[in-house]
Amino acid sequence: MKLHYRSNLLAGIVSVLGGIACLLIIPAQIGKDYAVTYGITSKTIPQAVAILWIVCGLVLIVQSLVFHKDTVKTLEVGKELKALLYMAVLVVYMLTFRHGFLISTILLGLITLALTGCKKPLYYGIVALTVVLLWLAFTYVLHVRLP
Amino acid sequence: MSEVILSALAQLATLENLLFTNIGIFIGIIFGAIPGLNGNLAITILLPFTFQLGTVPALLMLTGIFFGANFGGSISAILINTPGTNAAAATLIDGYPMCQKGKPQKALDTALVASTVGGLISALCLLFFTPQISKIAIKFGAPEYFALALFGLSVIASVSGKSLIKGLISGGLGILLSTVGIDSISGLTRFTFGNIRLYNGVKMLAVLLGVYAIAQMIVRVANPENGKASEMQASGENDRLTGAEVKQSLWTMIKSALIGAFIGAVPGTGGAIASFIAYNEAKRCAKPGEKFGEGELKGVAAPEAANNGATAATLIPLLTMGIPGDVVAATLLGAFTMHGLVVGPKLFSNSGPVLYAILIGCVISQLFMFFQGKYLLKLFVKITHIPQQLLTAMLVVICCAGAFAIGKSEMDITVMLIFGIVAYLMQKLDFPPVPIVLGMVLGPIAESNLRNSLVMSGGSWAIFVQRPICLAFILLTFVLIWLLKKGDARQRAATQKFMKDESEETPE
Repeated sequence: MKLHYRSNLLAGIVSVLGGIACLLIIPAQIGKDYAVTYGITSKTIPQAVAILWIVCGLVLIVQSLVFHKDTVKTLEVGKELKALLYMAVLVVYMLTFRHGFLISTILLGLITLALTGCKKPLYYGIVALTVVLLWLAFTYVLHVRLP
Repeated sequence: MSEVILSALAQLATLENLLFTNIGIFIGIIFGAIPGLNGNLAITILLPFTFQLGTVPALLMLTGIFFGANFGGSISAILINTPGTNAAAATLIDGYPMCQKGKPQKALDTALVASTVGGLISALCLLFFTPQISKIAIKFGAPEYFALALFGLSVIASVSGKSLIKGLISGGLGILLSTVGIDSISGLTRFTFGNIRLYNGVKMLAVLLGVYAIAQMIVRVANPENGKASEMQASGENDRLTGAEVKQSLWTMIKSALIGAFIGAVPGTGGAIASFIAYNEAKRCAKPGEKFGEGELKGVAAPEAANNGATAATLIPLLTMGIPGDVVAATLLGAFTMHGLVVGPKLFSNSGPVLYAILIGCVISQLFMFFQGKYLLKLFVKITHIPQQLLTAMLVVICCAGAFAIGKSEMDITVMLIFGIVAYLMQKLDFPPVPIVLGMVLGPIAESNLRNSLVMSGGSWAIFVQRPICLAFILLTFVLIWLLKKGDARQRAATQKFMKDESEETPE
């Protein structure tokens, strides 16, 4: 199955939404500046970026809808589902990394190989060995204590 | 003076010095080439070992690591589209496309020659023009830094690819990311979401690894057939850098090295800014037929000459004023002090022979780097022969370990993975990744110096046009954007004409 979308239009919508979200979270995330600021506070740059996103997003939307300056792109759902699955694996790794580098990273390496369709057992061995060597090098040579 | 130089040469010309300089360069290249590791980490790790050595060999080894790591960063940028160091981010714009077109050796050779030229010019500036350059550099106040950052941000116009609007959005993301953490001026926290680990901000290298490496790995996992077949063309007979090509890009290298040396001498800037500005300048001067962003030789030569041009020059404010220009220079400041050299205005008069031995050693180091690189690159280029499936899995695990090493924090891994996912989604919408890096490098410099400038002037914006260096940079920014737009139009017209001529010549 394939999905079609207009790159500029979607990018514009995402940018406008991103800008609005940014403007909404700024008051909660940045406190009030009591120093002498001459108009430039801790909020100025983030607000300027948010406004830039909204303006640029609107320009992209106008380019797409009014001037028809856009590219139609295609998404292959099967491939994107695989990408989504891998992103989920990365998120799980993010959560498990702190409980042990060795096991979680070996698993990440092996799952990556499996998702690329690798059927050679030797490659799985090489990846596992790489992680062990990395752990040894970081711990005993670089003195970086991995979790 | 000549007595000092002769004494310095006598101190330098020992087997021990040559050996440890080479060891330093070798370690630097390896650390620079591995994503996540960098010269600063290598210097920190090896600093305690240098206490057993004399001052000259110890400092030659440590500066050798610094130079080697800067060059090493280009290796992974060219071969695996992942910059080993921040300064190599501009190199991958043309380096990786060259590799994909079956010219990895040529791209690496170009990076090596450009790095050597850049390093030599920088080291010679350090040796001969330190007092003069430091006099100009010391004139840089907050308004000049702001103008320089603005000038650097104008590079977004050059690296945005097909859509400047999307480039601006990406650049905005980089600037926004640079605001995360404690605001250095007001002391307020920004976008930390109550997480204490974000108080120090988001590490740029972690974002770089995510944007370039992890996003690419997601693409490879989703499209494994690309990695197997057409993505990388086989390296052919044409994969050698010829003398004519070196001659053709020599002026670009020299100009970029001088840009790098000047920017490197300004504290708080560094190789990343220098390489983007040099890339921009090379693109501005592009001749018809030179396709920047698609594997152009000068697109590799310019940033590499500039970021190595900035290396030795970074030592200028360090040695003359005791101001470390960047993180590595700060570590080297510690190394100089621990080895008995008190940096500052009296350094040259107090420790002349030792210092000149090190400075001359810095020049010679560049030549050693060239010869080491010449042989090591043949080994590195074999990375392109590793099966893509294996390379993908190995890179993911190396990036994870490397990201942790950046700040010894799990947060860096989280940042890397999140931005890998974000960058993958941005790719789907054609947002260019390079402006994110520019925004992250220049955003904090622009913001803090804008605020400091306004405090200096009591809130008057006229300060930016009243100071000559500042005004020159601001005018240069506008001129550059205008020239880039003009150059782009000219290049498009030339390309269209070329395509038309080709189609007319091709028989039906």
